[in-house]
Amino acid sequence: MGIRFLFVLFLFWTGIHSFSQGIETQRKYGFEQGTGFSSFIDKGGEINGFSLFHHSDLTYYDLYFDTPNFDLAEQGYSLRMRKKEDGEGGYAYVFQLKSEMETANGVRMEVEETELDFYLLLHKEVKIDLATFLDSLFNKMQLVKEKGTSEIYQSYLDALAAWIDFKAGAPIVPFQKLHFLMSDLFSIEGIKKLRPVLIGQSVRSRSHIYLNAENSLQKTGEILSNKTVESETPEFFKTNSKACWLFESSLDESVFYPLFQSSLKSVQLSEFEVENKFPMPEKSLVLMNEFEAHLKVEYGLFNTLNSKYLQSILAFRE
Amino acid sequence: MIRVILTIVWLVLATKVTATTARGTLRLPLHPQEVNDLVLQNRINLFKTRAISNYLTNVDILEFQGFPLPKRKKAFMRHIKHLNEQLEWAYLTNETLNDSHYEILYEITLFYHSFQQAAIMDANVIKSRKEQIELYRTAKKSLRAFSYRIPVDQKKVEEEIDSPYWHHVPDSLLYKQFDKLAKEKKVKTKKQMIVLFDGLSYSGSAPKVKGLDLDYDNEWSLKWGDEVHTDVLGSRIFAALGYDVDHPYFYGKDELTLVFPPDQTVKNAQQLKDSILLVYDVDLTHFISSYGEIDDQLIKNEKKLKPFFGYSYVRFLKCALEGRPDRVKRIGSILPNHLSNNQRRPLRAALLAHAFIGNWDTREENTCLTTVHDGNYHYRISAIFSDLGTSFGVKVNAFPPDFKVGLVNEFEWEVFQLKRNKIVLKNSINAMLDPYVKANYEDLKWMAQLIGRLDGETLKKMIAETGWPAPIAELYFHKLASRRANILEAFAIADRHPISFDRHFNFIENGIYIIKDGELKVDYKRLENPESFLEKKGRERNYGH
Repeated sequence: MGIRFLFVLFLFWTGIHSFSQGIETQRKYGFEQGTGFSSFIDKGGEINGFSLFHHSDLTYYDLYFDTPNFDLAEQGYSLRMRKKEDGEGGYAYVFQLKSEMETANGVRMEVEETELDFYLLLHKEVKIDLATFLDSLFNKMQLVKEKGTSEIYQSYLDALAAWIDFKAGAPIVPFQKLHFLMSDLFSIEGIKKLRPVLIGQSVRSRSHIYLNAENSLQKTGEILSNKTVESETPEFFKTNSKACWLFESSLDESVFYPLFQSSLKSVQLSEFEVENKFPMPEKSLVLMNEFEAHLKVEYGLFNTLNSKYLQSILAFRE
Repeated sequence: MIRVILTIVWLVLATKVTATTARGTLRLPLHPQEVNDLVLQNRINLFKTRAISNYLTNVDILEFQGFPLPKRKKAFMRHIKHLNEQLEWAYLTNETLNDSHYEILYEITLFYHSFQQAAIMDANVIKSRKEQIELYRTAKKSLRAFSYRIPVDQKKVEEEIDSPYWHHVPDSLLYKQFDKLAKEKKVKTKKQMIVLFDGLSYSGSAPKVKGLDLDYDNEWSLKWGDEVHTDVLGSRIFAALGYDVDHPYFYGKDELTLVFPPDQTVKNAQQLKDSILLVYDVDLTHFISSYGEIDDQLIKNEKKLKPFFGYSYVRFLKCALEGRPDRVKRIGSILPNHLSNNQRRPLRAALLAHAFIGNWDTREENTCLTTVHDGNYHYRISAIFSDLGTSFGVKVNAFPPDFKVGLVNEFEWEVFQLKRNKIVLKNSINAMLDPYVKANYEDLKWMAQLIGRLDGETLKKMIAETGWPAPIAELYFHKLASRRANILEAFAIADRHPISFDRHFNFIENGIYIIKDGELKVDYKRLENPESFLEKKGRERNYGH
C-alpha cells in the first residue's frame, strides 16, 4: 500500500509540475531593407539545407492599450485587441496580453481572450458586440487619410473607455493576468486607466521551415519525421510526408499610428519571427541556432527583443 | 400554400431542435441561500457574481483550502464567461431579475461549489483503512435505514419537470435513451475498436487506463475486472429512467486493440501489466488474450492499424470502454448534499434506482456535474450518475477490505421486504447521501412508476449489451423482472407490461446444471471470464487467482 501510495503521489506531482500554460518559444530578428531577405521569403526555397515554403499572406489589425503613464510598456508588457485574417476567408478577434522577450531564446508569456463576439458594449448608444465594433473601428482606420489623429476615432475611444471602466473587474483573461502579475499597479482602479494608445496594421508572410529527408540525414544523422498530431499538422506536411516541420516563420511589415500627442505621425516596422514546432527541445535548439547563423551570414539579420508595441512607443515618445 | 410550406419548415426545424436534450430548469420552490446571496435589491449582485466567475475562470487561482484545484477546461471557462456576460449586461442595463437570470445564478453557484468539491475529492482519492471501514459500517447501517410506512390515503404522485438532474424519457425511447445521450455527446464506438494508450489512471479501485481515439479527439477509459458487464447495464437502466450517465461499452475477446505509441511511458503489454499491478494490485495476465507488435498480417485484417506498424499492442478476453468525449467537461460532484439539492425529487428517488440495480457504491464521488457542448458554442449543464458498476450482486468483505460485484447469486430476487403496513428497502449502500435520507414514500413511488415502464423487451435488449454469457444473462433477466414486479407490488402500481419470470429457473448445458433452482452452480467458463461469476474474492484479492 505504501509503495502504491508513493508511486501515485510521484506521478501526480510530476503531472502537476510538467504542466505549463501560455508559454511559447520564438526568436525575433530585424533586418535592413535591400538585403533581398523579403524577396527570399516571398519566393521560398532553401538556405543551407533548410527549406522554406511560403504559404500565406495575412493582414492583421491591432489596437494597443496602455495607461497614460505607459505603465505596461515600462513593465515589459503589451495589451492589444487584434483582428486577423484566419487564412480560411474569415477573421478572428483576440484580446491579448504579452510579455516582452527577455532573452534571444524567447520565452514569452501570452494569454488571450479568444471570443470577443459575445462581449457587448454601447457605441453611440447602440448595443454592439466587441468584434463588430472592432470591424467598424479598423474600417474607419483604412478609410481616413490622417490615421494617427485621435479625434477621428473619438466615439470609439469613448466607447472603449466606458467598456474598460465597467469591465475592469470582470473575468477577462488579460485583466485577470494583469491583476495577478502586478496587483499594485493593476488593481481594478489601475485597469480602469487603460486606454487605446496605438492603432495599426501588419501584413504577415507566413512560411513553414522544414528539412527534407536527405538534409535531415545530413544535419542530424537521422531522418526526422513530423511529431505533431494530425489535427495540428498543416496541409503541406500531410501531402509531403517526408518533410519534417521544424519551425514556423513570419515576416511582418507593419505600420502604426499614435492615439496620443506625438511629433511622429507613423512608424513602419519590419520584423522576422521564428517559432519552434519540433517537439524535441535539444534537437530543435541546435537546428534553430544553425538556421539563425545562416540567416545572419546571408541576409545580415540581427536579433531583436523588443515587441512591435515597444518599438513603436519608444519611437513615438522620443 | 405558403402557410403550408412554412408549417412544414417549422415542423422540420422543431424536430431538429427537440433532437437535442433540453436543459430543463434548475429553480427550486425556495431558492437556496447561496443563490439568494447573489441578488441585491432584486438586481444582480455584480460583485459576488464576478467573484464566482473569476474564480471559475482565473487559471492563476490554484488552490482551495490548500488542495490543488483541477485544471480548468477551456470550454468550461468559455461557458462561464457566456453566462457571466448575460448577468453583466442585465446589471448594466438595470434589468429586474427574471427566471432566466435565476437559472444562470443557480448554474454558476452549482459550478462554483462543485469545482471546489472536486479539489477536496481529488485530494482524497486513496481511502485510508479507517475510511474503508466506515464505508463498510455505513453499508451495514443502510440495511436498516430505509423503511417506509404505506400511507393510508395514497396521493397522486405529481409529474416531474425536466431539469439538468433528470429528463422525462418517452416510452418508445427507453432502450434508445442511452444511445441518444451518447450521440449528443459524440461518443462513437465501433465493433472493432482501436485505442491508443494515453496514460495510466489512478482514480477508483477498478483497474483502468486512459486511451485516445485514432483521430486524437476523444478520450476513453479502458477498464477490466468485475465491472465490465455490470457498469454497462447499470448505466443503460439509469439512462432509461431519465438520468444522464457515462457511456461504458463491453468488448469481448479480441474486439479491442490497445496500441502503445512509443512516446508513452508504458510501451508494451508487459509494462502495462506491471503498472496495473503497482497501481491497483491486480494482475492483468488473466485478462489478456494476445499481444505483440503490429505486423503486416494484423494490418491486412485491420487497415486502420497501418500507421502503427511496429508499435506494440495488446488485446483482451474482455474489457469495458467508457467514453470521455471532448464535448463533455467534467467539473465535480452534482452536490447532492448542498444547495438544497435534497429537495429535488429525482435525486431523492435515485435511491430506488440504485436499489433496483443493486448498486452499492453510492458515494458523492460517483456523481459528476458536467457541461455538454451541443454545438455552435452552446453548452448545457448536466448531472451524471457515473460508476454504476458496483451492482448486480455485491459481496463486501471487511477484513481484508475487498468487494466483488456482478455476483449473480448475491443479487436478490426482491428489492423490498413487504410488511403489513410498511416496506423495507433491502439494498445496502456505502454512502447515505442527504437526498436518499430525505426520500419519502412518494419519491420512491415516483421512481417505481418509471421502473414499471421498463418492459421485458427493453430489459432483454439492455442485458444483451453487457456481454454476459447466455446462462448468466438469462438469470439476470429473471431476477430483474422479479425485482421490478416486487417494486410495483410494494407501491400497489398496476403493471402495464407484466414480465414473466421463474425463480426456479434452470439452465442445463452438456448435461450439467449451470443454473439450478435460480442459482448459479458452476464457475461458468472461468478461463474466458477471469473475474468469475462465483468467486467472491474481488479486485483487492486478484479475483482469487
